[in-house]
Amino acid sequence: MAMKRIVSPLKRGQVSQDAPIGATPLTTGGRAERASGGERHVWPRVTAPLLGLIALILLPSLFDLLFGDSADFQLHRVTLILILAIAALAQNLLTGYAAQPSLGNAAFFGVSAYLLAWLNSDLQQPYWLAVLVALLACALLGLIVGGPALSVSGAHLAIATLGLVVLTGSLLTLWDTSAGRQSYELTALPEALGDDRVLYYLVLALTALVFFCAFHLLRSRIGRAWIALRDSEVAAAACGVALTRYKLLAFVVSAVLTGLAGVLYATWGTTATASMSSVDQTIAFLTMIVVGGAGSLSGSLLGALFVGLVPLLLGELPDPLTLGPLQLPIATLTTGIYGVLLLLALIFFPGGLSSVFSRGGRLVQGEGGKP
Amino acid sequence: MLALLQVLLSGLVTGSLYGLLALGIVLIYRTTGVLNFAYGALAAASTCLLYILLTGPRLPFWLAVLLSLFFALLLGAVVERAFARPLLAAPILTKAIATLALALVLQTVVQALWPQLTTPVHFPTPFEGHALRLGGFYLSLTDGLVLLITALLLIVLQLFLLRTRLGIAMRATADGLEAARLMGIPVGLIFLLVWMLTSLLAAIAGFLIAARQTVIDVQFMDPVLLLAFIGAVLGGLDRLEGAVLGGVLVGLAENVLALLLAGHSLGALDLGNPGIREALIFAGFVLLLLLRPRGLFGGAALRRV
Amino acid sequence: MRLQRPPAPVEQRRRGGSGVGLLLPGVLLFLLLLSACGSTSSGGGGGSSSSAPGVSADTITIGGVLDTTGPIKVICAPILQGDQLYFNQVNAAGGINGRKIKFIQVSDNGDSTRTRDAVRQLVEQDHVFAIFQVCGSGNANVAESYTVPRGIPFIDPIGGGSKYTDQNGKALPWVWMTQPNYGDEGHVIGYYAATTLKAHSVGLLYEDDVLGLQQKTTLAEALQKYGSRLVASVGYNATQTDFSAALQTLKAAAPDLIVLNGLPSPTARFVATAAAQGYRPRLGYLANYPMADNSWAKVLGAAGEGIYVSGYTSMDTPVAQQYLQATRSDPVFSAYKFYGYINAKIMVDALRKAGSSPTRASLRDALDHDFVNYDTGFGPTLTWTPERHGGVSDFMFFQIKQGQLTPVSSFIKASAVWP
Repeated sequence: MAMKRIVSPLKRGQVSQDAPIGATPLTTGGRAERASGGERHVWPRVTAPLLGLIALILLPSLFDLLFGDSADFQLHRVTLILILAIAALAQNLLTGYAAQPSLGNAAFFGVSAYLLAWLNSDLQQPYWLAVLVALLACALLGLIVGGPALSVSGAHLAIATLGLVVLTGSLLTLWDTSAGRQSYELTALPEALGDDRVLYYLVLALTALVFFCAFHLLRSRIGRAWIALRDSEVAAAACGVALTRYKLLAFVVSAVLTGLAGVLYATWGTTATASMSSVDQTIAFLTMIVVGGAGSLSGSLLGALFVGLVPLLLGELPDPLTLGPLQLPIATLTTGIYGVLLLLALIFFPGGLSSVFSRGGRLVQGEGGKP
Repeated sequence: MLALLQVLLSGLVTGSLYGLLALGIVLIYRTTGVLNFAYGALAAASTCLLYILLTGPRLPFWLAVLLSLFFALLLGAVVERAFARPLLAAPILTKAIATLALALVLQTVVQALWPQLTTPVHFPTPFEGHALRLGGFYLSLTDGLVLLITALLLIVLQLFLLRTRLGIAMRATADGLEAARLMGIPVGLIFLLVWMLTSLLAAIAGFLIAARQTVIDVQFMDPVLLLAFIGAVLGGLDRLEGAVLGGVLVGLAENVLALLLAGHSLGALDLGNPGIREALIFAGFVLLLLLRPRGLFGGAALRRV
Repeated sequence: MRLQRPPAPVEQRRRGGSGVGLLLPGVLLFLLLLSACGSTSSGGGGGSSSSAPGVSADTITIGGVLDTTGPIKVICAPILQGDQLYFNQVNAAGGINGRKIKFIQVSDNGDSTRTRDAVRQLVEQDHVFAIFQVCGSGNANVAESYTVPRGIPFIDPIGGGSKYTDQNGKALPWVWMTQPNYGDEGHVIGYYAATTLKAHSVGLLYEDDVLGLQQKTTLAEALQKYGSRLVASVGYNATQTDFSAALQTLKAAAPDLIVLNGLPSPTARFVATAAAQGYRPRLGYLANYPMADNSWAKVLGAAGEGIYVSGYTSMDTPVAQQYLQATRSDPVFSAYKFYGYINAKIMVDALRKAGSSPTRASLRDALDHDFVNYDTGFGPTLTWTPERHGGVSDFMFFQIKQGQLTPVSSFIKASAVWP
């Protein structure tokens, strides 16, 4: 508790507020689900995700009707959102559930993409083998990063992992420079993945699978342990949760999922760049869960939608934008507009956009990365 | 030898600038729990205004500085009221992301107001071209000022926090919000003042960095900010002198490495490569944190500002 | 009071599970609505009435990928302004063969993983006739791997490292480069430093990326050939904050001249650092073409006097004068905006040469055959043939005198210096 106190005065109030919950941490996860699944939410919990999935499966046909010959391209953008959702989920498991305020995920994002590019394009290895190796490498890296991270906490962990991202980024740049590359293009991708629909269905299947697994993982012993960690580390330890093991596991799971997002993203953009391991990228991951809802699965989706789609939509505004007598150089203003939207989202939905969906009259207070 | 001395001095000055920024970062983190990633944008906004005042209406230098500092105070107040206040109770990461959003907004506004600052421009100061010369060793007036002002600000801030009623109230707020409230400290006012104070510190750091670089643009603070954060964390994120020392350490490491590695190579790899230097600095930082998880100068469970 | 409100217990916080279901359909609807808005607002120049995409009875739609939101917006945003300035002038004067130019810009955030999506938006959603400008070498290369196989003309990949030849050195079809490359410039700078400036030893400060390294190689080659030597070189990266160590390293090698390669801000800071420490090489500095701009001279202040700068545009030309006339009210001259302007002119000339009912094939023929010793109107000449798609390769030298770039040489062809 002493350590907690140094970090932030604001936290302390919340820690003490949380204490009664933390006292029985292992049951809260289960209780939460029973509570929300209790009376009137029985059918939406099972049926609604299914309906959503069916809608997404039918989406390509709908896009054909709506967009005609640009349907494939529009679908390609939805694919991006789904890939980002995987990355958001990865960050959310680590930060929103297991309460590790790590900003290191972009390191795995870049490394997995570069490994894929190297193995698949340069060494001519089969795509799926390359993906597998990249994911294994991420698991290993997650273990390597997660181990030391156990001793560092709070804001220190955030900045240390941020340093790790910069370190990774500069190593990847170094690799590019010494190989004389301007861009690391994926030139040997399987032909099928060049088809937007195939890629879409592949990514959709993977996203659905990952979310399905996460849903069940969070209800398992592991997920409950993470949530207990988040609610009170001390109490969790007192109740016999093996802190080290579960924290490490969170890092590894998060690293592998981020790695998966990384290889899919590189496949989507047919390129790997060092900017995939940059401060901006890692911040984007964090933004997704903060704006979507830390500790919420639907929050990961919403966050990916916000961070992925809003800049694309703003980019569609014609430049210069004519508003009555005003001629706005909109192209250079979109960053600021995005910033304003983000601020508004954070101020009006401090618990994330997903809090809109939890009813019951109570305003939801997000309690994301507790250091 | 002379070269090494010159590089050490430069590292000390650069490091002091990181440290100066780290001061504000630590102060605001300790009192309001905000990891302020908008700190660079705050500094840049005030510095850009100073540039405009100096080159547009061609105000006398010190008057322009005074006006810009006043603007910085105002900016700090506006930011606190408009955005920090509504997010006061939000989790730390939400606040951090909000400051990033704020940075995007500030940068866009500055850029839209003064488009000439999107390209690098010369930042004019009366100090430019003046230097103290000892044999072949140069200490430029700007560098001297940086060292002097950093030291002064550190001392003044320490005294302020230790000796004045307001400073004590700030420390009390940092140590425990509830207790401070119960003791009758106007916590809201304290938050406002902290934002204003750190915005002022940011502006001073921005001016000095601009004066030293002699070149600025809208984004000139971006590369500096991350290093300042690293300095702050190395310093333990809880003590002012730790923050400055952490910053100095980063600055020195950067410069000494650059000098020592230049011209050396390992096989086909050119060690003088800035990428290698950057990698080494960040690797060193991560390693140091592993050895001392609460920073080099951070106390274990002690609370200090 | 806010602080004292108890945070909601965890149970409420994670009711997301029930939200997922309600969420997905909502999200989809949102997505559809917004995407639909997007596509109608910028769809414009669809080629229904004409044979070629993007060409209608009264409009030619072309598209460019220019980062206006990310890390290279400092470079690309002013280029966009220059493009728009020239296209607006042409449109005001009646357009091209009666058709107005519609230029659609998309930002890829400077991130080459997003470039393919940006180009696809231009081609598949906005149905552009041709791609004009993709900002950033790596980004341009990604764009090429989409446009070349599809036979979409791509003019002016921006960035000295963009590909315009395949692995065998054969010109890539459908890509035409206008910008000179750093390799050619390195040769010409080496030649000029060794022969005209008579520098016996040369130091180099370069931006540490593929382009900087390329120039380092060619500079060293040319210096060697013309009886001089590259004695020291130091790389920097664009975010570097302190140039003291770089200075001391170069100073230790005692070069006659230091060549500055890369970007205006870091090179200016290097010169300022040197000035603050009382150092200047015997013959001063020679900067490469990104610094060929009076605003760089202004950034340097007094320390800039006498510095040589290589460049490929001359302001004593009709196009440059026309530009200066049109931008009188700008607070400063922007070399990037000027870059946009002069390249938009090349683009418009190409579209004019493509005939009164242009197709992609007719544009390609015009670019491949009607640009032999083409007078760019801003100094150098440009030659494109089916075998050669590279940019200009003539360079001239300026010296900063009283804060102004003053020409001190005529154009030197890279092929004359390094055949």
